[in-house]
Amino acid sequence: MLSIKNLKANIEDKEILKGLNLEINPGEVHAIMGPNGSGKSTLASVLAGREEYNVTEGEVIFNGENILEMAPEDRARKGIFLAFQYPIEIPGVSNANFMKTAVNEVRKSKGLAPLDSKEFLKLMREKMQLVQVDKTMTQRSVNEGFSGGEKKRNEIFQMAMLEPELGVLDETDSGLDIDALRIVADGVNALRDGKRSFIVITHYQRLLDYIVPDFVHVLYKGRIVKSGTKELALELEEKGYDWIKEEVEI
Amino acid sequence: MNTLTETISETEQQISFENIASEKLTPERKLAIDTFNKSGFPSLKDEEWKYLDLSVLKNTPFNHQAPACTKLTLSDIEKYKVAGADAITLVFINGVYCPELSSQQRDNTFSIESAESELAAHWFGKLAKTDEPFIALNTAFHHGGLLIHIKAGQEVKQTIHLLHFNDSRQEAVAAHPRNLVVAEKNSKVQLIATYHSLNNFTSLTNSVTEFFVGENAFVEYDVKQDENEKALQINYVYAQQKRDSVFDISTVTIGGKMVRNNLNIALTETGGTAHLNGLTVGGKNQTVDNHTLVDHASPHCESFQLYKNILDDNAHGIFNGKIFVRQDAQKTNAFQSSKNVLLSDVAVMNAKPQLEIYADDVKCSHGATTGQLDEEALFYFRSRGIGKKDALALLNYAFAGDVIEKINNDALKADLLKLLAQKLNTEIEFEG
Repeated sequence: MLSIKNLKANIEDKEILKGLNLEINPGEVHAIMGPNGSGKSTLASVLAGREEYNVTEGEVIFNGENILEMAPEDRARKGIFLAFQYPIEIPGVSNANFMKTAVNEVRKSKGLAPLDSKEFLKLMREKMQLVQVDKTMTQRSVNEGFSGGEKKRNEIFQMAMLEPELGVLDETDSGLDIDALRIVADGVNALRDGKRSFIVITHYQRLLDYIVPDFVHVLYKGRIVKSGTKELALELEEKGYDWIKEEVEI
Repeated sequence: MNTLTETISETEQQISFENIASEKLTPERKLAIDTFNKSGFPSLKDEEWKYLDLSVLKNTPFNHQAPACTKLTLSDIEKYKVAGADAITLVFINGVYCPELSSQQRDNTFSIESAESELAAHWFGKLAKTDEPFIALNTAFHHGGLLIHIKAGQEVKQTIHLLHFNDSRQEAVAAHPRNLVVAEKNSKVQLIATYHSLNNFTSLTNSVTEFFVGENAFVEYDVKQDENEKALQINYVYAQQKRDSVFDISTVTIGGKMVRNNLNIALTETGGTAHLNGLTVGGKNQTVDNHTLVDHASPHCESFQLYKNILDDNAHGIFNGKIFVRQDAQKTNAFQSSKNVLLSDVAVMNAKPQLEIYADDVKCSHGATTGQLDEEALFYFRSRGIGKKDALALLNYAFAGDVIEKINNDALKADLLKLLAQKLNTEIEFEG
């Protein structure tokens, strides 16, 4: 489904990704861990198409197409979803209106007729229930005045609405208390259907207690330096990153 | 050299009466034209006009006394009414009130008569003085206009819609609408003014409206400026507020080549409140200048100003907001905010707040921000599959809609939101 080969990217002439390789098959959950500054969020940004980042080498093939030349909206329409680490507040645009526009844009790109208000409300109600979002949240302006937990839940709600093939969660757990974390993780798990894949970027192992990954990768200095199964995350939690750094430096 | 050229072109701009019936040529009008000819048009050297280029206006030979009420029919004006509004429509063509095109009045909570009537003389020109050149011009050439007089203790249930047309299809017309609104003690009224133009030639609409808001009266006046790319407009609004009165004005400028709005609010007695809201959505070759003056002359008054500009292409926006708090006006609350978005590299915004405070126990604040559109927000929308153009439209719509939401008239609000979506050039179906 997703194949990243020798990806190199920089921002303001500083190289962050230095030849990253990653293969993801349908239905898999890959966790990406690593110390601060290792390039985790850069990877998420490059996948979503943030324009400040320059890709200098390598390719990202998603369902047979190189997405690096695509505009962010086209990547989204093709089924890549980024859950933001810091979701933006948009005063004046209701969550419902925002989602209706987005859902219908995605449908249009697939040659599907837009949902009318009634169909849209039905879909919204269904997804609200799935990821435990209450009605007032959809009526408020996008993220405006939301708590940290509400913002992250809203990201998962948007993912549920847009039904992507690949969800990229950029440190969705940061800043959440354990209750908020559990709600967010439950939402993600509800969207695991055996076909949808996830890249879960996190700094902390505890998220992986709730969203259990198939694979764990360690990103360090812009490369994946170690891959394993969920046990690797436990090892990292226990021993920190220093042993990995030592392994790599040698 | 420049000075010389300017002097010559300004001397050539002497304006005189032609073919005007002698009985109409009152001493007041003669005096006004003399006053105008002494001062001439304002220039860029004039502090109050320094950002506004009036050269097109100065160099166009306008007919100040163009024919009017026969120009349009009832069916022509139908589409300019505000859909869904329960309104009494008063139609003005080239500044002339046209009763045959206007609604028949349906209640007796207010009366309408000529602004030149004996009763109107009580108020006419009491606020709008001829030392302003465009007011002198209006005073010389206006066509009678209306006095709208709301009786004490009465609430006008219907909206009063002043529907203005400038018809410059055959020649360049200068229209000089002149109206008075007197809201007596404890009365309530909601008025709308919309400005439209039909042009083959450059047009000028030079409008003056004076409001006298009585004790504990409530007046809302919402202005929609939707003229076209050959239209110039100068618009003066004066309001004098008595004790505990409320005057709310929202000015939404979507069309017009050049628009200059002058709002002068005088809070003359204690407890008055004024809201001034303005929205400009400007594009190619448009200049929109909003000048406000709120004069806090008494204690315990409040004023709130929110002005927003969205400027694309080579549009030029100007905001000059003056708040004057006199020595006696203790416990004043006066707030002003100017927020602007530039969508192109060549759009220009000049924002100038001016506070002059002579009282010591007041709360006043002002803020002006001008920026590019929010790239982060734009990326957020795009990452959800919304294309750049639609994302921009949605963001701008949200930014601007904030001002329109302040209008209390639901029909006008809906009308303006629709117009806004059109101007932002988007097919997105917007919902609240």
